[in-house]
Amino acid sequence: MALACLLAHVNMVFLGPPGTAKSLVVRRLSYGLGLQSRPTTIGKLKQEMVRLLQTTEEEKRAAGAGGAAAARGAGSSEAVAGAVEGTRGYYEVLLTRYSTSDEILGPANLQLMIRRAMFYRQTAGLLPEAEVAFLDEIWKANSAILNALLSISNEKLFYNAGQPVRVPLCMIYGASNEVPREEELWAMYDRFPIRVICQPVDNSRELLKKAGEFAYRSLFPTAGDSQGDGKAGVRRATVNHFRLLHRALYVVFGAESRPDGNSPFSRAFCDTFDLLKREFQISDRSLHTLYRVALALALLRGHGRPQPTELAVFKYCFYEQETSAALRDAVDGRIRHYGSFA
Amino acid sequence: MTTLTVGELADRAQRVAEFDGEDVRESVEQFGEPELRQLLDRREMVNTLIGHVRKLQDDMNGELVDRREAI
Repeated sequence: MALACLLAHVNMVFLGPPGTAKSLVVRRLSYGLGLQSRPTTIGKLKQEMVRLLQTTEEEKRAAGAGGAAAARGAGSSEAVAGAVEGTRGYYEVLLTRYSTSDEILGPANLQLMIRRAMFYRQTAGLLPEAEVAFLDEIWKANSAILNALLSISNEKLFYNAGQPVRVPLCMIYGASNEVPREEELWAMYDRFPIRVICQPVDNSRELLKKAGEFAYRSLFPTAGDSQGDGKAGVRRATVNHFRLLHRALYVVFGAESRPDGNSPFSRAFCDTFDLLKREFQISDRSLHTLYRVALALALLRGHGRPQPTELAVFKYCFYEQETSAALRDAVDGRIRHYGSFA
Repeated sequence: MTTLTVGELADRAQRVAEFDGEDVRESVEQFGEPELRQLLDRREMVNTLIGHVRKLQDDMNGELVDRREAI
């Protein structure tokens, strides 16, 4: 589902108790996409920061005081982000009630604030410049962050210095222990229409084996272990592949890709939506986004045209965790009802 | 929208398949419907892209226990 959501550019949230690999799924995906490389060391980071500070001082001396230095101020911060490994299009943050907008959206450029009275955020390496983002404990964000997230997550717009800026974000993965209870969070919850519950695993022997392998490879890495760097000669999916396939969703299935509600799958989808939304609080906003995820599932499953099994996407749009089992049963019933499309 | 020749399109898709970065991202954003239709006519190109995604999916499923549904 995480891959289908990335292909469809639809936000997704993982729900489950601590220790159920919610974060691990997203981190593993970001490594696989080459968006993250191995963590740097404290020593290397210090060296890089010292070098950047020296460079900035030299630039200031060369340019003299004034506007040129201010312009380079922003450039230097971008260089800092570029210097820190692990910021190649992936942004991850653990949100708390005390997280500030500056941490996530970027600090204000003080030079521009003083000289031009402009509030311009330096966004390098932060959420506005990410292609894939992971917001852990997402419902703990305060209202200032949530308001900014609404437009970033939905319209892919970020307002900087009063200007709407289109962000390169494909989608946001969120994670939380539970669905939000507070009413003010429902607007944000609605922008994450795919909700996957992560339960503790049943197979503890397999878990121990995999954890052991992982720990061993962390201590004794081989050339092929760094997914972010990629094995020589082996092509791996990149975010650009997902971007291209995302556009393909709108043409690859003909009438189902641009649905008029009369093609077999789109009709079944709309009928199912109408039936389920009465009982399970599915918002109208979700109709098109869930449809895109269904098409993405069809593409990934290699179906020549979307099949009723793609209606399974509705299993993940429950509002309350308590209703998820009933929703699953209802969706399974609809899938059985339609059988398969020729 | 300018319609590309199949050769030009293949070159562009190849660029997308091989590289990552902002210039390629912009190139992807410029794929219009006629170009995509040409690309999809070359089904092997789409299958190649899907193959990359499936490889990633298999790798992740192999490494994480009981997370097939989430992945």
